[in-house]
Amino acid sequence: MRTALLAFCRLIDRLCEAGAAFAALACTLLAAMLIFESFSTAALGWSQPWAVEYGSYLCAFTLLSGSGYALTRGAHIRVRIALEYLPAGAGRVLDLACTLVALTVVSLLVSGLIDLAYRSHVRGSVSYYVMQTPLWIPQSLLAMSAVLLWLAIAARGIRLMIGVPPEQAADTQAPVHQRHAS
Amino acid sequence: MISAPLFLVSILLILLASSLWIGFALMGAGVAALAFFRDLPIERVLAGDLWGRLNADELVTLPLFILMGDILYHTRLSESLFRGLAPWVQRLPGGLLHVNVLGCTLFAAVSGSSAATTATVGRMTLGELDKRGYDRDLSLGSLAGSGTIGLMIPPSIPMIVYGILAEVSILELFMAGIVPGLMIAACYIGWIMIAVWRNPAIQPDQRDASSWAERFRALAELLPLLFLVSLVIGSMYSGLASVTEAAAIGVGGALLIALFQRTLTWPNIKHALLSTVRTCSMIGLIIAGALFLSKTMAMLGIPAATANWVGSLGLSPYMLILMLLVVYLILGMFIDGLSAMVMTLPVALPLVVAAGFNPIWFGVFIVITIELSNITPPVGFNLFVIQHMTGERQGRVALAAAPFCLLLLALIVVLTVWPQIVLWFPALMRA
Repeated sequence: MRTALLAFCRLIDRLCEAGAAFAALACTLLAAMLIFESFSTAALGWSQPWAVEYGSYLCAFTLLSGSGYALTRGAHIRVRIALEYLPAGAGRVLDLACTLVALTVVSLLVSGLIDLAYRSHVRGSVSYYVMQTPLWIPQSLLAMSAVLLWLAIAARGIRLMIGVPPEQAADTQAPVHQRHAS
Repeated sequence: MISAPLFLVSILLILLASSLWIGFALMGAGVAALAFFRDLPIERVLAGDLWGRLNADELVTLPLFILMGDILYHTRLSESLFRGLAPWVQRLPGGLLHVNVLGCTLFAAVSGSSAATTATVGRMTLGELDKRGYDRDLSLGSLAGSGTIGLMIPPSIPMIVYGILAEVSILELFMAGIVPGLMIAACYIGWIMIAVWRNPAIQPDQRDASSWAERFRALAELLPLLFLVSLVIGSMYSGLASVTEAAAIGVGGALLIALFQRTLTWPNIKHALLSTVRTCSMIGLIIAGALFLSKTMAMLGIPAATANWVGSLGLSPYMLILMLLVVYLILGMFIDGLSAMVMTLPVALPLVVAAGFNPIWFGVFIVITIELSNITPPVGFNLFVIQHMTGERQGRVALAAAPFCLLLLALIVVLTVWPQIVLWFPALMRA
C-alpha cells in the first residue's frame, strides 16, 4: 500500500514538473513575443494583433501552471513559526491540517475554473480582442494548472500521512534567494 | 453577532499563525467570510476573480522582470561589479565596504528583488571583504541593508504588485522610487564613513592606490550592466517603450550579456527559467489570494467600515501614518513584506488617500516598510540569504543590519514630512 501510494505521489511529481515546463515555455513565448513586439512597433511600425491578448494568457499560465511544482519544492511562502516550535508529532498534525485546508480552498478553485471553462464552451464565448479566441481554451489550460496544484497538495498530504518528507530537496542549482522562499 | 471585519481578521490570523501558506490563507479567509456572511456561489466568485485578474495586462511585466533577474544571476555580473567599483572606492573611508552599497544600487536597476540583489552582490563582496580583514559586522550589515535598495530602484517587483492592487501607474511608481532609492544609498555610504571615522580599526590599513588609468579601465567591467540599465530605464523614461516593452527589452539585453559573457548555456537557461517559474508561482498565488480577499472585503463593506472607525478616532494624518508604520513593522517581523502589503492594502489605501496622502507616495512608503521587513528578524529574507551564504547566526546578521534599519526609519520620517521628495520626479515627467 505504502509503495503504491509513493508511486502515485511520484507520478504527481512528474505531472507537476510537466506543469512547470509548460509555465517555463509560456514565459519564454511571452518574452520572445514581446521582444519581437518592441522591435516590430519601433522599427517596422507594425504591432502584432495578438500580442496583448496572448501575452495576458501566457502571463496567467506562467503564474499558475508551475504552482504545483513550486509547492513540491517548498517555494510557496508560509509563516513557519508554529511548525518550528511544536514537537515533531504535533507539527506533523498541524502541517496535515494546513494541507487539508489548502486542499479545500483549491477544490473550490478547481471546481469554479472547470465550471467557467464549461460555461464558456457551452455559450460559445469568445474574447473581445481581434483574435476572438474561444475562451474555453485558455480557461481549460488554467483549470488544468489548478488541478495540478490540487494534485500536488494531495500528494503532500499523502506523504505526511505515511511519514515521508512532504517536499523534495531544494534545487542545489537554484539561486540562494530562491532556496529561502519558504 | 460577530462583525464581518472582526471575523475576517480573526480567521486570517488563525490561518497564518497555523502555518498555512499565505496565498491559501488569504483565499481561505475570503472563502470563510463569504460563506458566513453572504449567500453566493463561492467557487464561481473565486474562479471568475482569478481568471479576470491573473490575465490582466499590467501583470505581464512581472514574469519578464523576474526572468531578467534570473538570467543575470547566472552571468558573471557580480564579479564585474566588484572589479569595476573597487578601484573607485578603496581610498574612501570605509573602502571596499562601499562596493556593497554601490553594487546593490547598480544591480537594483536591473533587478526587482531585494533577496536576488543581496545574493548576487554578496557572493562576490563578502569573501573579498573577509579576505582583506574588513569588520565582519559592517560587511554583513551593509550588505543586508543595501540589498533592500533592490526594491526601491526600478524595476521593482513590490512596486509592480502595488501598482496592480492600487490601480496606479507603475511607470510613475518607478519614477517615484529613484530619488528615495539614491537617498538610501547615500545614507548607507554616509553611515559607513561615520562608522569608520568613529572606529578606524574596522577598516584594514591597506588602501591600495589605483591610478586614474586603472580606474577608468575598471569602468569597462561595468559596461554590460550600464548598457542594460540604460536600455531598460532609458527606454521607459524617454517614452520610447512602455513598462511591458522595457521589461521585454530587458530580457533581450540580459540574454545578450549572457551570450557575450559565454554563460548562455542550456543548464543556465533551464535553471533561470525554473527559478522564474518558482518565483512567479509564489507571487502569483499571493496576488490571487490578495485580490480575492480584497474583493471579499469590498463585498462585505469592510474598507468603508474601517475608514469610519479610524475616522472616529480623530487621528491626524501623521498619526495615521505612524500607526500604519507600527502595524507594518510588527507584521514585517512575522510575514514577508510583500504579503503584509497585499493583505493590508484594501483597508490601508483608502484610509491614507482620505487623509490626503498621494497613492504614489504611499507606494514608496510601503516599499520602504517592505525593505525594513526584509532585515528584521525572525522573518527577513535578506537575513536568510546572508545567513545561508555565510553560515552566521541570524541574530548576528540582524544586529549588524540594525543601524541600516534605523536609517530606513529616519528616511520614512523625512519622506513623510517632505513628500515632494518622492513626488517631484513623477510630476516632472508628467509635465
